[in-house]
Amino acid sequence: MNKALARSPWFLHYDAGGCNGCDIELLACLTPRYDVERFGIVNKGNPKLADILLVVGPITRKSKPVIENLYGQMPEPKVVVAVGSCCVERGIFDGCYGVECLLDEIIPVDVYIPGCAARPGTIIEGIKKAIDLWRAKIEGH
Amino acid sequence: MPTIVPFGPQHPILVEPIRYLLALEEETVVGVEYEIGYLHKGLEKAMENDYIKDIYFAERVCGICSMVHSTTFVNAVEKLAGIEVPERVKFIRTILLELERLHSHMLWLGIVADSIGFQNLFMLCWRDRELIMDILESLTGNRIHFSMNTVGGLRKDISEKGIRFMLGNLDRFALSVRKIENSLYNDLTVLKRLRGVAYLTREDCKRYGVVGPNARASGYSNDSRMDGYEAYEMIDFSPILKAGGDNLDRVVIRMDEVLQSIGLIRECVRLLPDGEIGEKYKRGVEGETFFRCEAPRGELFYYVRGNGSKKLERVKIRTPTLANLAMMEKVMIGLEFANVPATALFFDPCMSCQDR
Repeated sequence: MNKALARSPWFLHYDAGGCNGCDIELLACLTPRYDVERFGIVNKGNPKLADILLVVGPITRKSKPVIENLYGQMPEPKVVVAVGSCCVERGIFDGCYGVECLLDEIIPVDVYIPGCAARPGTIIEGIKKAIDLWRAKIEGH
Repeated sequence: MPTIVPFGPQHPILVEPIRYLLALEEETVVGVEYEIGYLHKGLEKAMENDYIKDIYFAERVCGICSMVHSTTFVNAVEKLAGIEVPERVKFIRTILLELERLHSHMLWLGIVADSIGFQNLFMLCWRDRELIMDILESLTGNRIHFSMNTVGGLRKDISEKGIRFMLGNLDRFALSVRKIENSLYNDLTVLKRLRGVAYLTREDCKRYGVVGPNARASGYSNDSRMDGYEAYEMIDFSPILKAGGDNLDRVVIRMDEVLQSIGLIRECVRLLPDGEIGEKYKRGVEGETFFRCEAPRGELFYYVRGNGSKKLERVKIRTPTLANLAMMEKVMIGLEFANVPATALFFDPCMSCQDR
């Protein structure tokens, strides 16, 4: 069972209210200069097949049910990564009326990647940690 | 009885959330509704604040075009306060604005190439875009939010060494753009996928208030750079127009604008005067004004009202992406379902600008 699970992790990316800066840095990580796919990770937009959820930005009112829905659709074991300062601790959007809550108030978060915008190097380190954590979760599953 | 198919808010092809409800008769779209506001944080309310602090908010309206947001906001405040910035500041701002256009257009081309299944081109575009990101990083110190603008000038100067690095990288970038153009325009599959799809006439553009490269691809000229803000009045500039109005022309016009921007940057460097980069201003602003700039996606509009103190009373932002959304129902109806995701991206959506 564990052997069958230990394939390449697929990740799902959702923007919950960010400014787009971390989104394009995340995409830049997939491309030849940074190439995070060398760790065996693939960006798939399907929550039912995803193992790692990358969330960008503070959680806005309309994004909250979407995030809960996406997280609920993902199979166990799963790892959640919060990307960017505004996802980790609201950052510059602190006090804005549209910002409902933080990510770790609605779902458990495993890796935090700070930075406004988070730099590709930091994102790669965070993703690597998330992959290791995911593998460890499979061992204990 | 049409079938209703939801598209979004989370979809493999969408980088950011938006929700379309498509009414389908077999494979053809007969009706479309959209729902926005997934990223609405209330930035306009947050900007009723000290105008120096507001520059940070203005930059964080959008991560792709942060320079043009801060430039427009700062220009509006300078107009209210009656500040004339030095010429060197104008040229440096223009260089950064055009660099931003370069990286935004390459990013867009990569994403739409991915949406029509041409993943190789996505990788190539984003590889070459890193040349521009390197320039921006060496000039400003940041990749996304540059924090260069302040009221009355710039926070820091750019160095000779940085300019030499920029010109070298731009030469390499221009070569790669030529190569990408070559492979794109000679690819039969791409041409068949794009030609004649999502057709929009000049009258439609006027009626739906389309702005930016999308309007210019239909022959409707509305480039705000012709107003001559910053250094655009001192350099030789005229907007590029295309007549086709389909998805192919939307690619062609952006590729042409990329090459034009490279020329504009080189001209700015040639004309770059020496001098001060401005002083820090901290005084109250009174009255109301607006300013518009040409963002990579079209006309960006800032309305600012002050009451004599440093705190602003109201800031209103009109972004090009929200203006471009209205014609979606015009363009989507009659499309084949397979073309819908690509067409949604061909109009260069940026949901964080749009929802704020």
